[in-house]
Amino acid sequence: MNAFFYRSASGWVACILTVVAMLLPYLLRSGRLSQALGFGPSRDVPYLRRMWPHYWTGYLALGLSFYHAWVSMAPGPLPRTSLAGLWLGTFGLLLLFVQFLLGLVLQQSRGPNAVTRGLHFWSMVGILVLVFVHVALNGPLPLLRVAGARISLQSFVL
Amino acid sequence: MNTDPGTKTRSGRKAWVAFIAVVVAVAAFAIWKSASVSRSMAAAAASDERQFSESTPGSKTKFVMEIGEVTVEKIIRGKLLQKKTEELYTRTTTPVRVQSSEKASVVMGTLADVKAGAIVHIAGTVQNDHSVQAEQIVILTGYVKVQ
Repeated sequence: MNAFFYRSASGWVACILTVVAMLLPYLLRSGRLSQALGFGPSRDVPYLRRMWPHYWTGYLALGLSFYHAWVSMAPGPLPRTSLAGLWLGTFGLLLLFVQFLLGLVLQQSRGPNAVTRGLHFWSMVGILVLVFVHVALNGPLPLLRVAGARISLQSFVL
Repeated sequence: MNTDPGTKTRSGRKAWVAFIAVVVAVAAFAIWKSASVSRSMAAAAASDERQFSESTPGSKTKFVMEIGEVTVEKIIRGKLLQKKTEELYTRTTTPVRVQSSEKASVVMGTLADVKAGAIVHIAGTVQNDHSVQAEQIVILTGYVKVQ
């Protein structure tokens, strides 16, 4: 396998894990969404203890994203691609680190922590947007390419 | 409405199994797709002067070329590239003529990337005049170096 495989596979799997990590808190909470989808989490176990899949998926997503950035920056030919997209991807990775730290704070918190929870939520929204634009600009997303949106997104960001 | 705890647990378990299955399937597809594009890009196959010149009409061929020009009739002319390492190719003097069409799939780029100076991997069928009818064009520009 060549560098492209490691770069591409790690990027896509990191994307999938990031989305899964974002969904898990909503599925693990005894809310309307989790009930409607039939997940029905047990109320016997405290919410923060039920959240272990979210924590581990988050750690994996962060690790893989870091690996993805590492292999992308490794010496070798660099494909002609959007520089703005690479910067947005880098900001997305930094925000993932921030998200990881906020998550640790929330994991350790004993009482309500609205400010940190708010930051954790908006940081998630930021990551989602940055990852989407990074994939649209730098990844081989056929739909965006066919629609010509790749070019328009590039001109928008640049 | 059934509120039996046993039924709820079973339905919850089913939902989690379905969720995990979907995630694993999507991840497996992403890895498979990356591997398949990566294999196309590895492109070793027949990127070799001798193999290319010996290919017979009707046979399938794969090679890497540097595009010299693309005509309005979608004829791609250029020079065959010889593979040295995974990401390094050397120029040869062997001319290559490729007929592209709407049916040819373009991987890792769009038709707009098929232009003079581009490095592409062609998979197609050898014609009687030794030109090649392209079935797949992989854009390698930027991914490989040419000496």
